Amino acid sequence: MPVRWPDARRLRRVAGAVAVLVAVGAGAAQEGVRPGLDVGTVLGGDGEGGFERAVAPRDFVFPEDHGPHPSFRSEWWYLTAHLRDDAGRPFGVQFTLFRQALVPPAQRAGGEGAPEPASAWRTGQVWMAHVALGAPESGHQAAQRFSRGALGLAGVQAAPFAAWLEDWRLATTAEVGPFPLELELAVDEAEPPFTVRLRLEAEKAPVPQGENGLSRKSAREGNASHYYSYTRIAASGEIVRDGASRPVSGLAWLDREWSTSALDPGQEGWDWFALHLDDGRDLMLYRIRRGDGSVDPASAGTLVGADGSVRPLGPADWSLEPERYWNDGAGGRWPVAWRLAIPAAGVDGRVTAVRDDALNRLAVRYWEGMVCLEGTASGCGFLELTGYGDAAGRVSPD
Amino acid sequence: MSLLLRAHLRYLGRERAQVALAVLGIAVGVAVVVAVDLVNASSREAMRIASERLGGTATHWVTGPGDRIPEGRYAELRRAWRAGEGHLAEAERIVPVVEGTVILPPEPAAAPGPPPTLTILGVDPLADAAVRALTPELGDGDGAGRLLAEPWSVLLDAQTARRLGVEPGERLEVTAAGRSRALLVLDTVPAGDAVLGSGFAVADLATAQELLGLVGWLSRIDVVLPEGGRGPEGLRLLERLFPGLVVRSAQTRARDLGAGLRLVDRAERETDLRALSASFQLNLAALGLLALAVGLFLIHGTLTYSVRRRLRDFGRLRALGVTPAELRGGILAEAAVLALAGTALGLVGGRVLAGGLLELVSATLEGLYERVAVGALAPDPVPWLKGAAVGVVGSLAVAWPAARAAAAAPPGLLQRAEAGEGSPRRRAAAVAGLLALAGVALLPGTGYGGALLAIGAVLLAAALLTGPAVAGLLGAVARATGSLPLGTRLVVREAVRGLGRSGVAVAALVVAVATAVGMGIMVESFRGSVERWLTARLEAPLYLRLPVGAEGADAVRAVLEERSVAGWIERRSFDDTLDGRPVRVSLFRAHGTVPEDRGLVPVEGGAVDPEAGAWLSEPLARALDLGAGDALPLLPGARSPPVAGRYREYGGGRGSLVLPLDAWPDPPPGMASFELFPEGDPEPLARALRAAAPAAELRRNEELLALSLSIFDRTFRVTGVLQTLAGVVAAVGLFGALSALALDRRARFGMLRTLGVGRAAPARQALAEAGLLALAAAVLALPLGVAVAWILVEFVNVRAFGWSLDFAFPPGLFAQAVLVALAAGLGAAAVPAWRLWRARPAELLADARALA
Amino acid sequence: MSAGEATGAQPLLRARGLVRRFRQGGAEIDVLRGLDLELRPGERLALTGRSGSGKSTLLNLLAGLDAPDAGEIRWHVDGRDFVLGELDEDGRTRFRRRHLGFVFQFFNLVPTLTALENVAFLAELNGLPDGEARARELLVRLGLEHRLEAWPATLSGGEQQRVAIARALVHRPAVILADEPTGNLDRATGDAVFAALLEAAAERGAALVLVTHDPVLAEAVDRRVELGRS
Repeated sequence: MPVRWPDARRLRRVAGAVAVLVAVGAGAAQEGVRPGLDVGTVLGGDGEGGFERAVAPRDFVFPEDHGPHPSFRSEWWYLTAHLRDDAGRPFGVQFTLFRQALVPPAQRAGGEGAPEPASAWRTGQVWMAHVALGAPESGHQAAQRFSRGALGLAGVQAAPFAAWLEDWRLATTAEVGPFPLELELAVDEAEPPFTVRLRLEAEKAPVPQGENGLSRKSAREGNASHYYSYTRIAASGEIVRDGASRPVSGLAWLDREWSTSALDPGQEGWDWFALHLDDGRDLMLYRIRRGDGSVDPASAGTLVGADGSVRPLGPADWSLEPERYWNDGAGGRWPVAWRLAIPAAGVDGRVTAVRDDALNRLAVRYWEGMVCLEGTASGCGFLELTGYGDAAGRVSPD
Repeated sequence: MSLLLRAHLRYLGRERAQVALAVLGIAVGVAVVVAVDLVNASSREAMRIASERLGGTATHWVTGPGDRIPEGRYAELRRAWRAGEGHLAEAERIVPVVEGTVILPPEPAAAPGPPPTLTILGVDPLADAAVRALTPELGDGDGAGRLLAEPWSVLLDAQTARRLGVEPGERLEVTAAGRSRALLVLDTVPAGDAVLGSGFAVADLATAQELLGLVGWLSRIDVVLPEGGRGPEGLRLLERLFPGLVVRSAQTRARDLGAGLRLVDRAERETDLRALSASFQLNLAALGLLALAVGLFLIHGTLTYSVRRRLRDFGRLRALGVTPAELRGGILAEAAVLALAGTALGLVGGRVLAGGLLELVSATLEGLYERVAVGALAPDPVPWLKGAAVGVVGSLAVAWPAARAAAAAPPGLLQRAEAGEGSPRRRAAAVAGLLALAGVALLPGTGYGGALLAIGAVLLAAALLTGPAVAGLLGAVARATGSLPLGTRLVVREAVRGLGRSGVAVAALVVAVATAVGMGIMVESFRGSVERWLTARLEAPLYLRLPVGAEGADAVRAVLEERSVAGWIERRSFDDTLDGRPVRVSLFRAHGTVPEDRGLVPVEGGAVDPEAGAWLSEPLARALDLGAGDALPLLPGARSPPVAGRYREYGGGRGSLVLPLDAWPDPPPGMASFELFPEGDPEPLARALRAAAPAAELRRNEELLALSLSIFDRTFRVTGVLQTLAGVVAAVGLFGALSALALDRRARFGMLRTLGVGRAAPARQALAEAGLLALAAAVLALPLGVAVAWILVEFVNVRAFGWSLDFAFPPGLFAQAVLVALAAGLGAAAVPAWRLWRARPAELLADARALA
Repeated sequence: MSAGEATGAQPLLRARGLVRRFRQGGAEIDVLRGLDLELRPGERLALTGRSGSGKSTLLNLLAGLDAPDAGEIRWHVDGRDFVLGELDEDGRTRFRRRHLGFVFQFFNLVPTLTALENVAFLAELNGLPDGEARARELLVRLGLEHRLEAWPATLSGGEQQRVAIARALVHRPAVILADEPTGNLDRATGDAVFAALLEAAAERGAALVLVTHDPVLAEAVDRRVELGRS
């Protein structure tokens, strides 16, 4: 459930912008980005006029829906992979490409009397990419880049499928795709630099989330996204760092989601689980936390059977309790160990972070890391946490 | 403290007047050095800030042939850079830039002159904020997001916003690429103290391209290469210690990036900005050191004199068992006290002086570079440390001869020691000769640094020779006055005899006056040459420019033909590289009747005919070692005609090249300009052109000439101030020397007064002696000054900046120099003379008895 | 020279009630307290006394180099009276130039003038037409014919004082004021120089006021006044 809401104060103001572009916390000073960015408010007011909104279930049409939906404000291609090397040591890899429109497509022209054709740079939208690597022998590494879609520097095309920002690239090797996919990430700005190369093959068909692809994020009409996932993807390749190449393999998860407006004021943050169970089932569930400490009824999940069958889950179907917190040293406490029980699915156990420090200190500050489940069912996957930032980030909305 | 040391220091306490003068001399010297360095550091800092404001931390620029490059090349370079491939793999940042100017509406009370313009800096905020501090970052008050989202939106520099009375959220009407546009001022960016004159506005790349008519194009790509690419560390330290000394990095060549793109050092591209300020800073620094040298002369003189005066005491001390080394140490201790006191005072004074100089300098720099204003002193420790080091070390160094002399005092009780006067040393002549030889030897083959050293050597040689030379001059005077009354002869002979004491001060005066003369000639030569150059450049009554990307050249031509304008020169100008060196290329064609020189002053004389071949600016020709008849290095795309000649250019370090228009069939994109020579009133023509080509910038040239020359004069006003200061130090020295002489002679004057010599005689002696010394100094300083000017004009300028100057003598310079020297001399003698006049003979005699 | 000759004549010098005070570190010291002194033309007088007794101060007052705090100094030369207190600085200077001759212990000669020039200088000051000839003659008389063009620095102490004596006499002054003229010389040289001084003064009829420590010199003159006894 990759709509990521770092903090309620921002959420209320931005309502509908890509939350990742709505940041708290101290991101490293990277190219062009200062922490606390709030692009969503650029147009003033609610800023949603002129954009399409997700209000009804959607019959996804491929390959078109693999490509961008510029009539919606925000969109992302979200890949996470938990991998192991020959020695069985765990590696977590994340690659996300975000698209954020600054103006609706209809208003994308230049100013009065602007020449035709307009400047290629007048795209009206911004692309942002995040890459993170959790490798066993060093700290969690994350990097981000921004670009406009001008001159082919960033973008996504549906067929043959490709999503890229400069030389970070996720693209099919097939005529149409999207699978088999190749991921190539050379992260020179990381210290030390690293490169990830993965070959990805889907093991299950894409699964529409929510009500046939309409994923409601609150009770309010239109606060929803279109959302589908490739829940189980076989991944293998190499991770190169410090001049050494390490073969790795494992499972990956690809989320596709686009929306214009999603959350309500009062929603504070988000705990999102995507687990590959060893028995072949895939479990996704997200819990939206309200500022008053309660769980929002819009929280939801999906259990995908080994055969691809889909079973929706609601908050009543599970019990979820944080058991241990990791202190990020900047005032943030992140729950990195959980007690999870889904009686109907025969799941009862502990979800524990493989490494506690999987905090992406980027323009947006969120925790995105590899976890494993042990108990009546077992498996590994990714956990995403937002809204646990520093004290300032948790100030209640004014 | 040992008693011996105490005795030495008490001596200083007794000789308060002399000590005060020595301290004052060193203090003024150190103060000038510190002040100049502080001001230079501040102006450098201001230049850096101004340059970094718009240029950011970029170390290099990627440019193409011509003034713009296709934007697709940026995408290629950026992708290759991300992939760690190509020439820019090492770069830290690569960002695109579109830059141009738009015309602001005329202000109500606008001064005549070219219309005010606004520089538009088009950047990609997503990438640029890491390079330029003024580019907003995403999330930074939404500036970046709104720049991206809002067409015609800009961030206006706060100063311009204030001047124009534009508030954030309001619109600003400008003329861009011939069209009227309403820019939306989202916000202001702090202009800082460093930004003046022509304002600027930051816009998104898209807006800038659309505004300036450059859709699909970039002006350049800014590149940040790692530190190492910017020249050795030692060189930069040297540059800080001796501001202006290192003018250019050692001939940085442009790197070819393929497909016509080149990577050029940004500093090299900004040499226009740097060359003049470097020349300016060099002048200031040289004058600062000169003032210090004069101050050191004083310390040297004071100590030498005090040692000679005390030789008998030292002899007694030696007889008592004090070792030479102890005596030497004692004198050095005295020197150290003087040095520390003078240096401390000088540092404080330097701060005060710097405040005053700063105003002059910032006025100068504002005049030179509209975007530079030196607002405050830069907090740079180097000038202070350097001033302190130079003051203390220099003082101890010049004290060394005196310390040695003290150590050499023969043990025993000297019978009589009439203090302090002796003949000038002969060895000086030999040393001076060697120095002068070394100076001349330095001239050929060394850089301009060698030429500067040569000036130093020549000045030092002259200083050493001053004593003997003045003695010679006065000897000649003495011979010439041989038949005059003894009283008159006595004056001359006493002056010669006093040279042992006054020689050093006279040498300081010679150096100060010579420098003033040399600088005066150089400045006058510079001014004359620049004036000739500017006059030629601005000869056309009307000048029209079409910015890059602006249409209208055909329309302009049509107007000119339709109105049968008597003559005009058309140019197409763009940046290129010649033999790896950035150059400005102008394609030239003259129509109808144009002045014979065609706006260019030839170096070799004769007329300039740019349609006969390639003409190179003098700095470029010198850098490439090209002269008439040589083959021009290859310019891709152009027929390269042979070099026809060189023309004068004082605009800056970057060379320029003029080719016939048809030498380049399909020239790279650039700016079109027209120099128009209409008959009669140019105004109707200007109106017609404005209507036909709205994008054109039109300018009347006469106003510009006067403006440029007033800026030039302002630039050198500060050098005048510093010359005066050096002169003041010399006068202080002379005052000290003459006071000491008067003191020495009190006994003798007492005796003479007793014999019946009138009370005016001693005063007359003091004044006449000072006058004679000053005249002798002036006589020596004039040829020396001419020599200094010659080296400055023929070597320093040519080597440092590649331009030659026509030697010119400012009217009345020599008379002025003589008057200045006399004023210094007589001014310095006034007080001692008055004291002598006032004293009762018995008081003078009492001194004699005390000395006995 | 007998005392009788001078009896009826007007004295060359009459000083009455001379007082001179100096301030030294806040205290006032009376160096001279109401001193009276007379000198006849041609008379040779020795002023003696301990250091600080006012010998030199008195000499300065007599020469008009310094002004007394009280008292009067009246010179009578060439039938004219010169009251120093009534003359201005220029008047006193002209008086000295014309009528007085000086010999000092130190710093006697101008170092930038030759022996001959040093002597001729005073003749020139007095506008005497044949100054150089007179100077030459005097120097020859004093045994310095071979040192005429010598610089003072190259002369011995005795030679220097002889030049000084020549200079003191070249303009035929009425009186020579000599301040320890032999104080810097050895006995033999000093005696010779002193003899030369007496002889030359007598020859030209000049009176002599001699300040000295030396009892031998003090005995050799007509009269002796010891200062600072009171």
